[in-house]
Amino acid sequence: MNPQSVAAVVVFLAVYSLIITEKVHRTVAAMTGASVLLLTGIVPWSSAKGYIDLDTILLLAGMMVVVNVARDSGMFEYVAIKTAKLAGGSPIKVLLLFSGVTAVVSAFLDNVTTVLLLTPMLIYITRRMGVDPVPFLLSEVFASNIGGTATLIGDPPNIMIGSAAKLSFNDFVENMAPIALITLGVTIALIFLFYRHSFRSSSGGSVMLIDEREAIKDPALLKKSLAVLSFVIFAFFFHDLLGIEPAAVALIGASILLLWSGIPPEKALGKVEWATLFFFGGLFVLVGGLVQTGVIDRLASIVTSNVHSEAQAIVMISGFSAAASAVVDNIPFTATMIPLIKAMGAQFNTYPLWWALSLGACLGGNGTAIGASANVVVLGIAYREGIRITFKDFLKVGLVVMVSTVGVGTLLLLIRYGGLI
Amino acid sequence: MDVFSSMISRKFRNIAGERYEEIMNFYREFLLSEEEMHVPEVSSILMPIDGSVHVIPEKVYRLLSAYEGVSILLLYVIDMNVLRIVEGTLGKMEAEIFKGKELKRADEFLRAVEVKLSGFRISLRTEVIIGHKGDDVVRRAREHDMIIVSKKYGSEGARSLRISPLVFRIVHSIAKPVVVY
Repeated sequence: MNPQSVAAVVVFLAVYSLIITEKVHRTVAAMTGASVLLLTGIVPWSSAKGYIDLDTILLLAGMMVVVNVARDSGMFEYVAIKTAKLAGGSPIKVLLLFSGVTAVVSAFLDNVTTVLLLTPMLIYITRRMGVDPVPFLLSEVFASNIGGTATLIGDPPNIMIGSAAKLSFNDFVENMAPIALITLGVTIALIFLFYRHSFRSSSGGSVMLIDEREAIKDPALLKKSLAVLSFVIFAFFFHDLLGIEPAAVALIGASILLLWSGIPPEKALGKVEWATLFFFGGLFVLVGGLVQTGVIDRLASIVTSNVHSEAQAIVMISGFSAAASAVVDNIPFTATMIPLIKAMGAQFNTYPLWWALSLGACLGGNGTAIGASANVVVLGIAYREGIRITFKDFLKVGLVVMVSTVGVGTLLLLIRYGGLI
Repeated sequence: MDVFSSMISRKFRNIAGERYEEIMNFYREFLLSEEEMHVPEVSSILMPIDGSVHVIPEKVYRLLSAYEGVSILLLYVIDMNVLRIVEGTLGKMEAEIFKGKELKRADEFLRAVEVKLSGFRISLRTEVIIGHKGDDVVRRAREHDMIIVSKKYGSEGARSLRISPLVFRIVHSIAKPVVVY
């Protein structure tokens, strides 16, 4: 390796370790790493612009505007309370309904927002029922990560994969949604087996005293948000036919909502998570450094010389992605894997490999407490509410869920693309 | 705090930011606090009704839906004193006609409420009595854990009042939770 390659790898690994430990905010770490590469000329500015995937960043930005404006209407709190009331006092119903709602909402909105809104309600209802909240919280985490796997916009790795591989929303629905549905069933069954004594019947009756309509702060905004969200989801399903990129769909939705609701743009755009967008920007430059210096090509040739079929590649990518995503944030991991899989395109049909990456990157996050943002958020809220789920507690269940769901998902991919049957 | 806990805490702060506090503040506006969660056990509810009560609002039905498995007594009270006055001034026959009309209204009203409550997982009883609207309710309240009463109950003679004096008397006379709608 030449000195430039070594420097790119060192910067990359240093940023990765900072992201894992979060000693420095992950955005600051990624931006600093990118700055070093730009300053040293390892990534020239003219190339950096090409490495930054604007499709991903603009899709995220557009969805952030839509979701955050819709959030102000009280829509999601309404959904949380309605779910709690539908479940009544049955712990099994709470488990099934909250897992189902979390998975569906996570498939269309970002996982962090979903769990931020649903977790306080879940803790509240389990306290009212007098049951152990831990299995319900773990189930919510897993459901959020699994739901995010189902669609192009469900989880940032999918947005990145969709943009890089030019996969449509329907490609994801066709390939990943069935896997998400089956693995969700597997996960709920596992949670039930692990915590079967926690589901004794109880009474959550007083939850019925809450009037979910009280949660709606702005009925007019609620109607407008629902209409725009429905339009955006509808347009995602047909973006391929209409010839509109997913990022454009999200931005059109955001523009319509801003125009229709009359919310000042300063307020709406103030809620865009700029830190996350800059995190992506920094990461794209960091990974660009590895591409620029030929590190990715060398890695790809090592992989392709040891892998002899697409079936092997599917198993290797899903397994490795899951293991890595359990430890490292799946966003930088996916950013690294994308050019690697692209480089493998010379030898293999990469179409099934993208699904293996999505599967591993999204479901691998279930393995450990720090594997995905949703895990950290739920555990953080639980801790603030006096519920202690340690790293080890999470690991015991998370690893089993991760291995089972990635195993089942890989098997399904092998049946479909690996010629297993 | 172990190394992983502090790592999770740092990551939570960086990922959730101020959004968590914002959401929790909103939830606090209408979710009960730990202290407020200790709701008295309610297994039977008394709902006195009379001719002044024309409708039971939806919010009362929503409240009742919270008490799964509870037994509810809908007690329709026809005022004995009014019957006596009618009989004393207009005669026995008029009093019988008046009583018949009141019983018919009571029956129709209770049936309508029964239909509304038919989907609820509760045990429902209805009863029509001719008696004292205040004393009888206070006496029967001893057999129940909670009373739900309209603010118009017993206000046939003074419909302009915002809350019936009889309801005040009931609330003051019994040491049970009373919901006034």
